[in-house]
Amino acid sequence: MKNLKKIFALLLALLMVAGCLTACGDKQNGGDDEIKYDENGNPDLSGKTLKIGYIGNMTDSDCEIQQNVINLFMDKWKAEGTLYGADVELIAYDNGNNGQQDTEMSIKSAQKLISSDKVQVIIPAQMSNIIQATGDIINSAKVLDIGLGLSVTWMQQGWDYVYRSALCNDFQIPSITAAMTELNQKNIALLYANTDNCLTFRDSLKAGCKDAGINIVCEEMLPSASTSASSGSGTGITGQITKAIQSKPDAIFISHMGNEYGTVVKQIRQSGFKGIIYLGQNLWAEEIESIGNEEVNGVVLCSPYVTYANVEDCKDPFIYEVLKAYKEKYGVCPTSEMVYKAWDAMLLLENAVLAAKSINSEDMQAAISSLKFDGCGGVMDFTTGSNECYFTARPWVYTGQGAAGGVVLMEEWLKSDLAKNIVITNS
Amino acid sequence: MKFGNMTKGKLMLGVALTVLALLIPLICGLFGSGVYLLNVINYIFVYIIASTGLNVMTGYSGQINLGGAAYFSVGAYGVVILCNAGLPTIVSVILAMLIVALFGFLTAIPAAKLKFHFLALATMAVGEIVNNLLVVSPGGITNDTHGMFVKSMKLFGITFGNDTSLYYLLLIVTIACLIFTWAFIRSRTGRACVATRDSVDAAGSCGIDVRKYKIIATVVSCVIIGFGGFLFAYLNRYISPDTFAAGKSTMFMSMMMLGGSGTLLGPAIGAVLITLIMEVLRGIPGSGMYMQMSYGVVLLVVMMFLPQGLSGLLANMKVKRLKKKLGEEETVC
Amino acid sequence: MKIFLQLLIPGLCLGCVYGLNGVGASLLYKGSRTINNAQGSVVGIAALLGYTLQRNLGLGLLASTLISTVVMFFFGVILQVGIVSKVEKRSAANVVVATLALSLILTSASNLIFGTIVYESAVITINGSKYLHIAAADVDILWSNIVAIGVSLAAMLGIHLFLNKTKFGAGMRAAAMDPMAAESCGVSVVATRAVTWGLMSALGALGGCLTGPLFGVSTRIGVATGAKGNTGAVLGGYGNMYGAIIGGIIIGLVETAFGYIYSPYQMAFTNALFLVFLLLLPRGIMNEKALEEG
Repeated sequence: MKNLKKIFALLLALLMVAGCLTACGDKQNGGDDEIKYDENGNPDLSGKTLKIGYIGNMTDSDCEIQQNVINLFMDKWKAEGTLYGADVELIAYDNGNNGQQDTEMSIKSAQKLISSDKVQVIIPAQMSNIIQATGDIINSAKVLDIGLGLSVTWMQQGWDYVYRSALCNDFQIPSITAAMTELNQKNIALLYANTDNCLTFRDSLKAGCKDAGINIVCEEMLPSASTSASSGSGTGITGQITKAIQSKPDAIFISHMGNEYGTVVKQIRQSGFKGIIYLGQNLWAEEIESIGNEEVNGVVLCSPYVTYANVEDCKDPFIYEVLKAYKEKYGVCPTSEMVYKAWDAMLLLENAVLAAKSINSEDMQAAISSLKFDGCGGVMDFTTGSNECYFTARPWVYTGQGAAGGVVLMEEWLKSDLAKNIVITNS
Repeated sequence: MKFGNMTKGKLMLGVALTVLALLIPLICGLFGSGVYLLNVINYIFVYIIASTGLNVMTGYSGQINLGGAAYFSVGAYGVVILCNAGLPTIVSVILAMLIVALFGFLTAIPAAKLKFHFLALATMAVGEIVNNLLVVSPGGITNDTHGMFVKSMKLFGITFGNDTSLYYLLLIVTIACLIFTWAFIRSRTGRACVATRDSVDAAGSCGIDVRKYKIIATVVSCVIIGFGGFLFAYLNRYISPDTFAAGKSTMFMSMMMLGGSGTLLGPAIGAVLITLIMEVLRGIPGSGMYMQMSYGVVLLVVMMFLPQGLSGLLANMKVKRLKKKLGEEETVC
Repeated sequence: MKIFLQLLIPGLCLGCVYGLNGVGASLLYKGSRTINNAQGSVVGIAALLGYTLQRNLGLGLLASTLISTVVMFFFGVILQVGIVSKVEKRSAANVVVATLALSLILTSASNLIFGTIVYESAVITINGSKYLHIAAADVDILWSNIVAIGVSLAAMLGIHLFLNKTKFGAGMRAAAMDPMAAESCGVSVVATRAVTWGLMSALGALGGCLTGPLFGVSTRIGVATGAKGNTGAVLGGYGNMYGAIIGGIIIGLVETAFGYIYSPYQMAFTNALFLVFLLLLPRGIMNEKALEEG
């Protein structure tokens, strides 16, 4: 009989845990009672809660910034009653496993956010394969999904509820090839990592270069820590870099993961490459600092926005306000482009609620297709029906003068003396 | 009389458990978050299968395997790729399991020679190589890091599209797997495998071909793990290489160790507990930062204080109680 | 010739770092018949510690490396005394899983403290130049590479002398051969095991700090180099310190060469080479018998 008791005790314990699991998340969501409208037709949503779900690796620096931005907006909304008096709540779940973001953990988190927490919006972290993995579930549950990733793959699935608040890789290509053509660069070496995002970027770039008559003379894969724990991003890539330089390219293009660009740039420069290096994403200010000012000169980036080491360095009025607000709350200037992506995501959410006059995800989704407003990278235009908002990028160059690489637009850089230190083309 | 009561009690318990098991989807359907709970239960089933499979190799046959995710992924990708190629599900499952068996066999031949720690290193390397091949697959058959979406499973004319139908399938399959493992261990072959774990020399001197039985145990174990992988693919609906990285192998290992290796239900208990620990940690607000760390701490504490896992703890308690009883009786005498 | 040198020197440097970790793994295996899966995280933390000292206290590479190495030595000792010795008592096999758990804890702790950015520490300059110019081949070699190779080899020589010329080193070797006999001769096995862990962590820390200027500093990079130490040790013959050095260097060179030859399968090739050695040549280059059963 003792065994029986044990089994029963175990079962009871399990049931209790299960009860805890469900009880935690079973808060009801305001109900479907009548909404009062004032004379201007604005609803009174006080007493209702907009629940924002977030999925990311909590120990990751990028995810920390994203959550900070979300919290910043939520506090502002609560203080000012922006969302027709509705309350906001952030529910963040970790998808990290062994220090990496994991699709399975993300799918479970998404399941929980949808069925247990009943969120109206989910913001998955910047990894494109996470957005890809969770997209189907979120879309079929008719929950708004604002992705921060750059890969084209998850936008090709035709999910109505999935939006992007950043510039897709594909739209970067025209400005990259235009810059290459302008500088008369005919031969490009391509270094890419093996993640979803980097592979699609590579493929789009190859197609773009083919159209523009630019040759890819060398194509080498870099191991990425994002896909395998045992392959560090920085070690053992001398072979690839040597091969790329040996193919005598006019410029080298790198398609890598966010926080792994710096080490590759540094090693390319250390191997004696004096030409232009194209990047797919912004460098962190910390990375630029450690690459060294001399080395960072001539690194080109095609993006709607760039990062700054200090708030004062920023000349763009919109981004200046963003950085100032962030610094006021958290005491540091954010040095990753994640802050802009998250900011735009929250702007999209705010505008969607205001336009829909509702915090219901279906109403918001219907309202987004007519939205057009200012974001960090210029006008965010959702009226094209493609769920994308940004379509153009500008070429920026790191000059190495001043903090955070002293980034300037390419035309300015070409006029300056700094451009003379760089071998722009071999021919 | 007492004996009769026991069987009656057990029978009652069995009936109660069966009814409860069959009713769980209905109970879960009653409240909103039940959908999520059912989903978690389904993952638990898959991990019970995988950790039970690992147990055959590590627990019963004494060969450590830190590359379990490799076999798991071959099972998952194998079935999905074959299904996408147009084969019926049942045929693809059989073919994929044959591939896993062959793969397990090929790795087992040289691995059976290795000492415990080096087997750990070797299986880790196997895991890494397979993961590398998923990331950069020949001909792109695994769709590389873009991942693959998995369509709903159609088996015997039934579509397993939602969690409820998958629950019943997984329930049956998991019980079948446990029964199969039980039967295997009690079979002549299984007993020989256990003997090789307990003492290589003794088993050898009894005329047992140590290497042969080590290989058999490995192949059986790999097939069960691979079968878990196949079910995982249909449950997760999306597979990509990062899901099958070294972390997954560690997870199987820790599930088995926590519950107690070398026992039938130990790995199952471990799978239930670890999945629930992760999910409960996820649910506590603000704990996300420490989720991975807490998982590590749980594992470390188990290794430090419960080296034989929970079932070992129960067994120890039993032994202590018996000793105490014996001691009392002795003093009375 | 130019390309050969350009590949050889960084490959050699990478190999030396793997070799340092390999020596640690070999010492550990000889001393207590266990494997440390947490080595990578320790390397990562050491490198990040070194970088933080440089950045926040303005210390030079030399000073920060020294401090970090000493700190990690004691960290290793604490890990052994506090955790590993308790697990070890039951079964050496549990150490494999326990150190995996430890690695999980250390990795997420270090991510929380230092963040996940890949930092780069400053390269070494000698006579105002970062490069050593070899006129014969018209090639520039980074001083950082040369210093890393030099210091690693010196550290390995130091370990060799420590083991062979000091009393404590002799005690460590004795405890490795037969703990019971050594104990009865007055050698404290507890102390030798703790020092083994300390040395292992310190060697890893040295490697992590030295390559900071070359490969960047982050936990992930630490995990990558730490794990390769085992690979190198297996190639050289597990448990043989000198084999581990040779094996580590081979892995470093092979990895660099495969990156040059066909990069998509770079990691798979390296792992496959490891597996081939483990399965077909378990005695490794130095014909060490540790690997085979019975």
